[in-house]
Amino acid sequence: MSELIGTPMLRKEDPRLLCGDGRYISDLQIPGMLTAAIVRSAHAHARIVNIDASVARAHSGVIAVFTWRDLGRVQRPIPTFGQIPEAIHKAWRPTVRSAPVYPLAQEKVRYVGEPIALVVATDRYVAADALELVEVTYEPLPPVVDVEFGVSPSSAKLFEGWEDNVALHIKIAFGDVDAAFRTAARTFRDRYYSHRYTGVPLEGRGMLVIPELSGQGMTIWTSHQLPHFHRAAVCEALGLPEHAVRAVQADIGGGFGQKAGLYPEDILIPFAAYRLGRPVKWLEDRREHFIASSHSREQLHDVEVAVDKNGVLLALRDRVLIDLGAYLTFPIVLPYLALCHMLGPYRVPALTADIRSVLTNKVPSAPYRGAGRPEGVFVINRVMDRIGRELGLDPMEVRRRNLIRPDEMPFSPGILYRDGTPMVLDSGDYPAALERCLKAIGYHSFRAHQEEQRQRGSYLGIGVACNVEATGIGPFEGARVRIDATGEVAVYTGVTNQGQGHQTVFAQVCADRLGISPDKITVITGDTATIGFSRGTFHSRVAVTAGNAVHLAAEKVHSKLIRLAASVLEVAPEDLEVRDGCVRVKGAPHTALSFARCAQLSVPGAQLPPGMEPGLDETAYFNAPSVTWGSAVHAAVVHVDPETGAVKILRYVVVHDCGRVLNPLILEGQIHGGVAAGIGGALLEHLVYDENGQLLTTTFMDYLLPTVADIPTIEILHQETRSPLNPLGVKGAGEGGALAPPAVLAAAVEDALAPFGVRINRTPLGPRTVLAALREAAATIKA
Amino acid sequence: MRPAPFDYYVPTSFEEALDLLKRLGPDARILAGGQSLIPLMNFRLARPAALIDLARLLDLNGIMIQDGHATIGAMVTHAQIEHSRELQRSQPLLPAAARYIGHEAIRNRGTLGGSLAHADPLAEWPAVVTVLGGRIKAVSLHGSRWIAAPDFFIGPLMTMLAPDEVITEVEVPVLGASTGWSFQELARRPGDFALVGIAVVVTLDRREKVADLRVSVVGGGIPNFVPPIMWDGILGRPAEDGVLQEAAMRVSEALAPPEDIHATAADRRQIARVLTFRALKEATARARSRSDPG
Repeated sequence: MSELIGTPMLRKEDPRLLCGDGRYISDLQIPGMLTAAIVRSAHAHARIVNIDASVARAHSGVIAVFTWRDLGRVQRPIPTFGQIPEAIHKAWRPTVRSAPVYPLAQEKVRYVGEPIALVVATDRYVAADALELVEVTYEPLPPVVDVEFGVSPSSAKLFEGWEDNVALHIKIAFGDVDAAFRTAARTFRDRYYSHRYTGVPLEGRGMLVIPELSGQGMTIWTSHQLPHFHRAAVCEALGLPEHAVRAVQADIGGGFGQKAGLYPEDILIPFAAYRLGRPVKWLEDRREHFIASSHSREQLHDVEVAVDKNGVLLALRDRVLIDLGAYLTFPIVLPYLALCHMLGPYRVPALTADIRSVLTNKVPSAPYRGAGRPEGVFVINRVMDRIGRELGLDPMEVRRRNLIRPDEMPFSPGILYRDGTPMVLDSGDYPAALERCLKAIGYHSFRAHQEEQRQRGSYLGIGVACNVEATGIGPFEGARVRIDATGEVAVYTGVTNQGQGHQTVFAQVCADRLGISPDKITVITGDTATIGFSRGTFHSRVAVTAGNAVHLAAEKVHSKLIRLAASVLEVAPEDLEVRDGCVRVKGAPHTALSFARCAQLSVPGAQLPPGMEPGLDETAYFNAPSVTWGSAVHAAVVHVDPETGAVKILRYVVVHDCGRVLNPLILEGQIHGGVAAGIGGALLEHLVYDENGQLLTTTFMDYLLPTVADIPTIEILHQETRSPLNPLGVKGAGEGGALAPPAVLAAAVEDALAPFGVRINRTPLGPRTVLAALREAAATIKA
Repeated sequence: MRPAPFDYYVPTSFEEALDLLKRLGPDARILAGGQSLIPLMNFRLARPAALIDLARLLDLNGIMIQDGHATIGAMVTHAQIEHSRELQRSQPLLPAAARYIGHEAIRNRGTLGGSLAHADPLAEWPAVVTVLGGRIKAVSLHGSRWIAAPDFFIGPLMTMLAPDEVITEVEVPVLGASTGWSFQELARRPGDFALVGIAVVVTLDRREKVADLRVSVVGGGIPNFVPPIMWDGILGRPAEDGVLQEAAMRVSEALAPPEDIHATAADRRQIARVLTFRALKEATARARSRSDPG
């Protein structure tokens, strides 16, 4: 049956996008459209004494200026996402304080970039001029910029009435950790730091909101990754029923999870358009993106490790500080995903974790491609390398001894996943993936080559990291498949497409089930008008949840076609097959009904088989029981110049397992993008604050994205361990590539500089980090 | 990221440009490529009331080699210098350094005169023109004058140019006999501003001893030229590794480099030492190959 799934079909969306026919937020223009811009806090932590917008309001071309006082019923907190499930509350009794975002600052600002006022003007230039005319008087307060300082008694508090800045505190434990440390052959401790960086889409966040002529609702052309969620939040804020608000995705110039959270603008712009009765567009500029879109990754792990004499991990103690930024927007996601991704693919028999998410005067943290996973992957792989060094074992041998074996699957580490269901690694062959990766990169012959190069003064290093990846989180996603009277097929789903190739992959899935060319299938994504329910695009979930929903909806249409044709042709259903856009009698292909004919025969009023509803238009929701776990092994060879600290990647190999591959071409593109993002984070990208809480990296001159010159050829090998948890056997792949690079490159740089005794326990691996590590190692050796 | 309002003028003659500059006063700025000025304006860090665009003044767009000198018009782009066959032959340090300026799109628009007038301590041209012993011609309605490169730069983003003066051309000597050059630069990514860049010109005497040594530093602050007095005890010695190491150490110690998010001052001093040594090695090797064994 399956013909197209698994083939490298070219992307259906590309001709349109490559010919410049995309419709991004920037491209959307309608008559009478106004432009919004936002007055943002210049201070990291301050009381707002006064806002004087009178000059700005009088400025030519300014239509309105809104401050907190003007918001009316929208003076309410913005909904957060990723609530803590009841089961986790019960299991660990986390302490959570409410630190929500409001559409505009009330009396206090807590980060540079926090929205204070909204200006609506006739065009973007006028709006930019007007921003300077809004006079805000601040009374600066002491900023909290460092997370360790933030939990100290001497720190300022971001919220009045709190005795500290801890927004979330969760203690997790399983196994007998104390006994493990008592009996361990060796124990050691380390501090691992993941620095702050984030997603940088080509196009920032934005939307165009068009009020209905009736004044009773609106259409929001949005770049939000969760249009149904965006609609729900707008409806709640403005007091509108869902039928009055349509949220529909424009072409989205990259999302990376950053566009999955709700931001002040997501409410403010609909509010302004509704209030003014005129279309309003807002599109973030680059500087705004850095100070107003979520940051990610900043975590500090103080880890104690207990191992036996063979290098087998017995227990971990981890004290974690998460530098949250100014508000708690995704309560559980970042800490919990980091933790879960430390519990695989290696066995961790016993664990205590004490995690505190700490408010600081920085941009709020939220998921970005990986969403806590890379930080966990960094810790557990650095631990494996450290075990090797402690016991004089090859770090790959340490990995072999600790990797979960296929015969142990399904494997339960012993905690709940963040959706509240037990965490179960459902499938995978981690040891085989490791061996394939080592073979591909030539690990065994590398050591001789490395030694030879060292003799010539050239320092090469190799690093490897293994990771699991939770994908396809539920609870559900839906799809609707409709055959119309022309015989063409439309597939609707609420998830957005911001580069993942959904138009192509869902056409493949649907085409295989319906036996029709994918050219006859159009996939329409991210529109609340087309399907009742949707969660959206995040957590590497769409192939799993929406992919299976498309499969199920196509299955429903398929069985309806058979029943209808059986009735019309007066043959038994089992004698029919659906192929080449027809339902036909097996062995008598000329006795057939085309899809168009079937659609015409199924209209309301037509003579339908008993109990059959009219129309070839079926919706299915796939309910995911929990996540399904992908995995990967990455390896890199680097050259490090110990005199300048410069790091160059010479080779990069990925063995990747995301279950059944729907489209290998698109999958490799996903991996390339993820690895490039991971390399950028490991080597270059860094959001740096000064001691006053001013972000120093607000341009592409200071925030260094990797370019084509910084990314090596990425060699990809696929492993296919099908998921037992869904009909298609797929696992997600969107984020996976970004998880391992920081761990891989830290290991490789450390290995290259092993003759100097260098330790790398932090990122990014720029000259500052590398030269400091060299100096530190030199000082240690002298002492 | 929208500039504040400004007026825009495109003079078609040099006289018109000078007239405009005088008439519009110090709030007007010359636009000579705009690869630094326009981003600053978009961030509203620069707010000139008017821009005078020299793009149509084709007289400022030539490269000429004559009488042992290369003369380069102020509006010659970095890319033109990079790809100039004449310069690759007669003064190859210029095309070699040009390759380190930004990316191709920037090099296609940015100009030599614009960069010199902007006097960014992280730019390549102030260091290169200085190390070559070049001079810069400044013209106003009152006449013209030549300013030697080390004197031209008086501080970061500050030059000897009077408000009504415009750079028209730059003159550097062509590469001499027994003279070698090198340009070394380290940046976070290809095309980024340098962490440190080193421009070197070395002349050897007939016994392969160091007869003359000139070093400028990109990112070492402005002035960026290492004063000749630093070479006491180096000149006259053989161009061997030990001597070159000592010279590199002196450069490193003479610097007061800035600290920023990419590197500490100590990192930059170390990188400057390493790059200076590598540059001196390369330059002396080139000098040897250009010596006439006669």
